[in-house]
Amino acid sequence: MLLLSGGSLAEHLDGALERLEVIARTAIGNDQRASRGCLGTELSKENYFGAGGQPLHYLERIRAAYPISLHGVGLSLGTTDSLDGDHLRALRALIARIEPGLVSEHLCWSSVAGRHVNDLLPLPYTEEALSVVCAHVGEAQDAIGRQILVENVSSYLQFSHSTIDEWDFIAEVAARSGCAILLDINNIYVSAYNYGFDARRYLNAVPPSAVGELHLAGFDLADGLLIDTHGTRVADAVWQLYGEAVHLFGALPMLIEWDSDLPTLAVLLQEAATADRLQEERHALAA
Amino acid sequence: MPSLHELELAFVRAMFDATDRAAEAFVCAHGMASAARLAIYRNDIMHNYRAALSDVYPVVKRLVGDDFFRFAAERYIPRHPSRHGNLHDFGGEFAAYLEHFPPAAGLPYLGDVARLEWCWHESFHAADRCPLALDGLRTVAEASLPSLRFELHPSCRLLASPFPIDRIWQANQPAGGEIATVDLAAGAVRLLIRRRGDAVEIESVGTAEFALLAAFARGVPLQDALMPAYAADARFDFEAFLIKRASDATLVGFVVATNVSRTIGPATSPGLRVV
Repeated sequence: MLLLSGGSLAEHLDGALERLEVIARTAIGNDQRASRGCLGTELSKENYFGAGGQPLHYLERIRAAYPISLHGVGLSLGTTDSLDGDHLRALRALIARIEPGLVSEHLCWSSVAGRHVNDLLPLPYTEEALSVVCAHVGEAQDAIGRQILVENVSSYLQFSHSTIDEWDFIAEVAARSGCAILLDINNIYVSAYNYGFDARRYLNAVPPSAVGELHLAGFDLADGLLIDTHGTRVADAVWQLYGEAVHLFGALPMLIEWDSDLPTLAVLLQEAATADRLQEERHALAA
Repeated sequence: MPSLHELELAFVRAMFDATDRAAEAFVCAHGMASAARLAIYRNDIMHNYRAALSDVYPVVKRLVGDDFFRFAAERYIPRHPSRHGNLHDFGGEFAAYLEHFPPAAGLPYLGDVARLEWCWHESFHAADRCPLALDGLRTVAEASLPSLRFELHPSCRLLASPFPIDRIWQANQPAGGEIATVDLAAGAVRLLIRRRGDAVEIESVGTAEFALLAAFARGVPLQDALMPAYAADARFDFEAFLIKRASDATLVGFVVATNVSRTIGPATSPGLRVV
């Protein structure tokens, strides 16, 4: 079910490839579902937008053994610019080369007037933003010839002119554009804490048929806000929310994002085991 | 109510200029000031760009120290914004910026060292190509040879400097301890930076060879490309050059006269006469 890797694997590739293979082998040994292709790795696609060389050679080695999910951070679905044609072409070429199982991006924006900030910035949830995002998701899906998943981001501010709740916004993006939803349970928890909404309300508002993947991660607390750092263990409250998500959405590909302050393999495997146990408990309950 | 475009423009201005406060009016305060919420994003963005520059320019960082590097990076970042969603493309003008950065004026070689690190970075990510198959040259009609245009491997970069930047670079590698001191007056260098397999290599080359490679990089036909090479060294051995640079995959193909590409395949036996 699980595999765990950082979004910025390229920066740690030398050690990470070994680590990844160890995790994968261990998980195969413990989990028959792995043989049905549930096991995989998720990689930030922009790290492989180079035309060649070591990053792509490592990626191909990983791909030869495991399914891959390409997870994007730079397409800027919410920009009022046109989507970057070069970026879409690079994505299409990488998809052709790697044949990933899943391709995902974020519900955010990161560029305007040709200027990029290379960060996941929050959108105002308005009808205008909904039109912009849906048009860009459609354009991206047409350009690469397949469905993408769109992920909810953690955020640290809201815009006062927003008229739509985030959960309704992302559901509407999926309904209008035909994309799937990558639900990041930690991001829901972080944003719920930061703004004081009920994380369960979010989970219950998302159409289960649209959800195609789940993410988990650790956060830090700084100056009264939760910050999505991908550098710590998953919090207990987030595990609890994950259990509810599994109940609502069933068994889905799940990824624990951990890409700063990388832990030992033993810690990663404990996290993976916790996720597995929660899935099994939910399945047992349902049976 | 701002349009989405107005909001995005104001937000990005606020990310690079803390005194531009227009975006604050659009943000809910919720127990924390709007300015403080925007600052979370500003700090994150600056952190990401500093980290990206640190990754590409470790030797520059080592030469100037962490604090100076941060000082220079924080002035560079707002003046040379990223134009791509891929962070690997960020930072290409850092060398030119450092060259004209008055606080760094005491290190005249710093810009060229940064240039070398950017070449290394580009070379690392460049496309893969097979070496030139010299056999393919046999099929070229003799009359066409002067107009051949040789192609360099996509990872090739050529860099000349009045300073011994290759030795400065080597002396500042984590495992490069054998060079204890570098004589700045050692003279100019002409460098070929390229990847062999997955490894980027920096090689010092002679004046004639550098001139020829530079001409090939500009797409100059063989006959004209050889002129500056022979001008630099009348005894320049083109055949030896060809054999060496085909086998080490510096040369990966050639184009005859018009645009017909005659590549590739693994290199086989070299040894034909072209000149």
